[in-house]
Amino acid sequence: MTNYTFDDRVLAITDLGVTLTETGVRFRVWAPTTSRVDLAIYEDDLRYTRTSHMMVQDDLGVWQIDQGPEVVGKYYTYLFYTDDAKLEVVDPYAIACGLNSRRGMVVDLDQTHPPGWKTHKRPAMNGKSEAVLYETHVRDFSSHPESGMEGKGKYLAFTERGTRCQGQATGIDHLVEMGVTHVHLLPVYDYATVDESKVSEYNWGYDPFLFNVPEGSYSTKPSDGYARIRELKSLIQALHEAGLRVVLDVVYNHTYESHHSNLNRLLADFWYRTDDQGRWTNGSGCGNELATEKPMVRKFILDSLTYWLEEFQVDGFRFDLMGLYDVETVDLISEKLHEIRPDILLYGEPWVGWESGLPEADRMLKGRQKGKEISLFNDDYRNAIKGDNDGHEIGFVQGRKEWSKWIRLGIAGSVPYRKNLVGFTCDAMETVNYASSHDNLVLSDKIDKTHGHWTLEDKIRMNRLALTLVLTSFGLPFLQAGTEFGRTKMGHHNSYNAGDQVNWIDWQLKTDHGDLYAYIRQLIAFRKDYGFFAKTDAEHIQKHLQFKRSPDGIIAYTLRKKDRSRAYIVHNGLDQAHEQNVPNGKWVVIAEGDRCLASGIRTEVYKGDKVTIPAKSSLILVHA
Amino acid sequence: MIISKDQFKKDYLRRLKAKAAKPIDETSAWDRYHALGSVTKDYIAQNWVETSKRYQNEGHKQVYYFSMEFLTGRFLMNNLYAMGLKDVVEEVMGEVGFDLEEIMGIEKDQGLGNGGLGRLAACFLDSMAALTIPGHGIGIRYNYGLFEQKIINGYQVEFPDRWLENRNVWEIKKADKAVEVRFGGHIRTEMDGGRMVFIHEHYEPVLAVPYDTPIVGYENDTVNTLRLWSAETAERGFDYSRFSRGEYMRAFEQKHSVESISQVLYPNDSYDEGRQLRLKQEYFFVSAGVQGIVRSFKKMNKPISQLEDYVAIHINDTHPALAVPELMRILLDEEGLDWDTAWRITTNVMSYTNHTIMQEAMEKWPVDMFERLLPRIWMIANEINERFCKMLWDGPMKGDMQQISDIAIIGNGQVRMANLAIVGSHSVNGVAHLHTEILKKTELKDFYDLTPYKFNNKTNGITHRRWLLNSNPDLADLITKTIGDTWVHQPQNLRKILQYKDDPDFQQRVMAVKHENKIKLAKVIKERNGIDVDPHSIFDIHVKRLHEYKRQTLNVLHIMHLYNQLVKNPDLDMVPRTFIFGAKAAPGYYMAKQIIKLINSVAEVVNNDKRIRGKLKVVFMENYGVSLAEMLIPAADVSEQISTTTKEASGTGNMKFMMNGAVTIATLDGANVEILNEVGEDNIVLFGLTEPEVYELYESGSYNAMELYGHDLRIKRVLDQLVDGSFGGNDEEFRIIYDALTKHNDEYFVLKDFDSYAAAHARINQYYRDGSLWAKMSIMNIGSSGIFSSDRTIMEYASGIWNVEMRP
Repeated sequence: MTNYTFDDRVLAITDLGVTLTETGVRFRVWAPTTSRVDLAIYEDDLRYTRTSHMMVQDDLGVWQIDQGPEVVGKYYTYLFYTDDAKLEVVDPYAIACGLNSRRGMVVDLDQTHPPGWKTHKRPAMNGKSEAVLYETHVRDFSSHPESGMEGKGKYLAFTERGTRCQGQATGIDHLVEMGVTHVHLLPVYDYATVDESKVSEYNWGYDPFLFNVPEGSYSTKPSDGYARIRELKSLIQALHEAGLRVVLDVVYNHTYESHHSNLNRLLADFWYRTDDQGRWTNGSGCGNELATEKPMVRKFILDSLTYWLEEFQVDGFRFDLMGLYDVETVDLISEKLHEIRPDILLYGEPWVGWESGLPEADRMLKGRQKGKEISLFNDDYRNAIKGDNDGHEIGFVQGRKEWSKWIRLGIAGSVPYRKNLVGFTCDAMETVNYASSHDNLVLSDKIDKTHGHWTLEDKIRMNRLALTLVLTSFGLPFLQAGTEFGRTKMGHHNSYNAGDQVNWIDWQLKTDHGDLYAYIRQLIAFRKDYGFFAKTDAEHIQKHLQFKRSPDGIIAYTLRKKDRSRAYIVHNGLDQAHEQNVPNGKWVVIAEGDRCLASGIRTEVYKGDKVTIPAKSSLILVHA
Repeated sequence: MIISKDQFKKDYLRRLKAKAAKPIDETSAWDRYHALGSVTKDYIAQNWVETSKRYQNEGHKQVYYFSMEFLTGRFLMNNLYAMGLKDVVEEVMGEVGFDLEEIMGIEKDQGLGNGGLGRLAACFLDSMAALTIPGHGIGIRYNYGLFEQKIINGYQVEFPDRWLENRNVWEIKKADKAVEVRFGGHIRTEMDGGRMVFIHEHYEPVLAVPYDTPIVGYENDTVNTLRLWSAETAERGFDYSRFSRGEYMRAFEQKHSVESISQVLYPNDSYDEGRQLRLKQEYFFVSAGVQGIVRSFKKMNKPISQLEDYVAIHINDTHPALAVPELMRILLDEEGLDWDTAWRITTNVMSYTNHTIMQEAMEKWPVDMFERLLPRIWMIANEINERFCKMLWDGPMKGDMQQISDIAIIGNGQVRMANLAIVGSHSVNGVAHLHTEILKKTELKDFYDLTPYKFNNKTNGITHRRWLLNSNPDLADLITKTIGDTWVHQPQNLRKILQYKDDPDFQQRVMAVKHENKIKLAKVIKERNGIDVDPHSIFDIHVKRLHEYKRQTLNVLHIMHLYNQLVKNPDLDMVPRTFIFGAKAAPGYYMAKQIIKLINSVAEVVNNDKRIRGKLKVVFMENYGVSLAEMLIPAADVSEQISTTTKEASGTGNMKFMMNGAVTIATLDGANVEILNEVGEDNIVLFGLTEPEVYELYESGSYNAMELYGHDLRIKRVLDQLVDGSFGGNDEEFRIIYDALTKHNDEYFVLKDFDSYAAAHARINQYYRDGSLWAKMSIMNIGSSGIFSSDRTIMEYASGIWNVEMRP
């Protein structure tokens, strides 16, 4: 029963899952080798009493049955008969489910819209280069007792306005105030490990179960398939209405369950990659990897992405372990999604977790994104900024002078900038520039690890410098939520299930580290207002970005625009102050020392002056 | 008797203030309980006095139910119901803001028994009172009930059950009714006017003091008595002469030795220990009880030869069998009757119930010990035996020395209590149809052939008042709303609900009550065991004494198998199960204690394995007793009655469960057979060997457990897991269980029945999926349970054995 090769006819299969028809409800599930499948209908989500109905298989392997309209609102599973057991399988194509995804639910999507959904508008954007990404976990965003939000840990927290902590804006208000453009949510599809009946359980959610259903633990009513859809839509609508876009983190590279997964029940040993001896490979590090290169798997992923895009009106996707996707699939994804939404943002991790069964040549790795409108997380730049993820290695901001070159490449958007400075992109939009993300030590904890003995002020300066680099480089700047005010996870480097106390965003830090936050906020405004990073193709960058002579540990560069306007930026990663020549002319000082103001702190006229740039700080000037 | 709300409130608050000696709102739950018990007892006392007077004046025949055990549980709620005070009390408690449930929780279970036998005795007392039959219990007032069980690291640990610690509000000490019981010493014979007299000398006197507890009839003003005897030194206190000589310790020695007689209840299954004390206990309460009976009979001024017309003594299992020689002793030595008259009276008075065919429970006493401890009783028992054997020799078993010695009362150096009881009684009954048949055909065949007229069956019963009306009030209300309340007095009328078995609305209501009960139990499980259980899962309950023949082992091995299946296929199509156990193991019964450890070890693994998605939960609830049963049984979906066929005489738990709507998974053993007859095949889930198959395997000796181990991979797997550390502990922890099932060839056919047990569980899974089918099965069980009311049983005893009438 291995190596099913299906001709293109299977790709023509439509309407898998549950479809509302004129007369009732149609159930379809593709399980070509199974001898019998029954549909089980449950009146509610909790009781185990049910009725079951035999399905009929067509010649493409799809089992189908029609039911009357009365099954809308009820719950369902499929019963698979195997040689030695009868299994109860939750429909992988389900779009709604009950508590803990034990059962799918039949929903009428027209009944899942929050008020105003149909007419609300996604925010306009001039170009993708305007984007400033903000990564948060749904629960972390509001779970802190002082978050000021009512719906702690829930989707609906993102719909609350006017929330405050110690007088400072939190929640959506904070995002608007800060000026980020995209809210990147850690997984909100239904994942396996959290018991949705308990408030205490926590997980990031990289353990996918039902790819097309919103996670229930973030919903106020996990048993109600309608509620979880409606509440996630409310989140999206509220962000849109606040001028923010939404990116979903998707994990089509593996499933939480392996041999017991619902996909493997549909067709054993088909959905996952195997080695030449038929053993499952483990490119995800989670025991399995989905075989994206198989047409039916690819179709499943494409259908799923299209569903999220169209039904939930999202604005982008972040792909976990994109190295496990074959390039052809990524091409198809990009093509199809851009067709639907030309300004969609698609980005991912260009690496694999473990030994993969996908040949190296087919993996979506750095360099292979060129021209595909796909962006990749830039780990080289990240490491150059702050050193390795969790270890004692230091980077530029901690004073590693010899890595200045890689900082320059990062600032240049990793394009082929000049002969000895060539990155993996052909357009800076293909790099996601970041200092830290949910994985590994959060930025301030990393700095604490290498410079725990330094004063808090100095550590905050390094934190600031790292984010300043991200925000003054070509490419997509990506900020991990809370790093704008020095978020800590108490040194926890892999907090995926460490619970709220470790993971939550402590909004009190916004007050404690008010200067850092004000600086970052102004810096974002600078980036957005002046447009120095708006054009991102290699040719433009080669022409308009010019690095100035400076010692290692100091990066100085000018940025020009077509309209001849200029900016001059210096970053001092050294442990001491540095005197830097400033080009002659009249300049508006945007940032110096601990201050940043997008509208300008003051105006200076320089004539061959040297300016002192304190340790771990930046100078940003805009030609007046 | 009708007590108004105002009257009760006045009486209660006055009593509470007087007893607690503090302001009402500062009283503790304990104060409130004691005041409530005490006021209730006052109301009872009026009826009690009147009932006794009536019995005496009208000369009714009295039944005395002698039992080593009375597992009565709590009295308060029962008495309030019976007195018709429940609603009044609830209202008044509401008015004064007292939490009645908390108050009732103060009462300690009167747990003077091991299991079914003691509980049956309690149900019988309840039914006799309800049916206005003059019937009383006679037993021992143990200072400590059956031990309090705690589970520590998965092991049973025993602690004393100090049920008397805070006084027993229900009992009344009747010091003036104390009698003397004699142990040891010598018998001197003398001739007195041509007649031999027996003088007991140098004996150890023990004072037997009765404590009476009222047994309140349900709404009928009848109050019978449970008389429990307590042992005290005849000299009162201690040996003052020794004390004054400075021998302080020795001064109390005798006191302690005497009091030890009524100190502790013997747990079953450990007869090898402390046998002498056990024999002392038996004679102690039997002698005291019979003396008391004769004394009160004589107050009626009737000739002693008419005793049989006024008194029936029932011997509950073999423990009180010495009632036969003791009554003979009194009739011969004290009343001066001749042997034949005394024997006629005695056998007409006595009747005996056999409760088990387990050999371990067929009491036998070494002759030398018996003779030393009870010299006069020994002589009488010897004489009974001589005459019995001579009768056999002369008649039915002429010349067959072997057969005679097999059924003799004394043989192989032992006094056989069962044989004594049979020979000395006019009636011998089994407790369920199958059990009685086995007695007649196999276990007591020789006696049956000899005196077939003595043998009869009285299928056990349970009091529906405690087990349905009190403990499952919502179901009782629903039944009453549906068919009226006649079922309370005539439980067979429960059958009337059967007409609604297909009514979706009624089905839904019955299931809703069940679900509420399950939610309540789930909460208790969470509190006590810290385990989350899904009230929608099947609550599968196995509660009873821990014994190999009751086969908790089969259940736990099957759970291990389900677990193995779920680990292999977490998406196995299975209704989630919550397996709940409750069982005490006799402290000396190592195997039983290891089975408890196994259940807890399996629970630990299963409950914490996230892979199986909560589809299986195992809960061992500690200290199983009447009160816990009252909470568990109304919440059961499935009742585990899975003893090795032929081993369980009747069972009564099976009846309680069905009455509360649980579906039984059952072997065709004990009263399960009768349950099958009542509910029909479609409403019980049967499995396992039948009686002829069991006997066939015994006779042919063809059973080979190792063969099953070799051929059935499921069995091999779970057995291997017993000794490979899969469920924690070291590899030797469960070796004894493994060996019993393999090396010792699985005496109780656990492996033999495994396959059919698993298949039965699979059927349950299937039935439960169909909500309407399951509800119907549940209703069929409730509606068919009326016949298992102990009222029916008691009426059969009354007319068929005791020849007493109901006396309204």
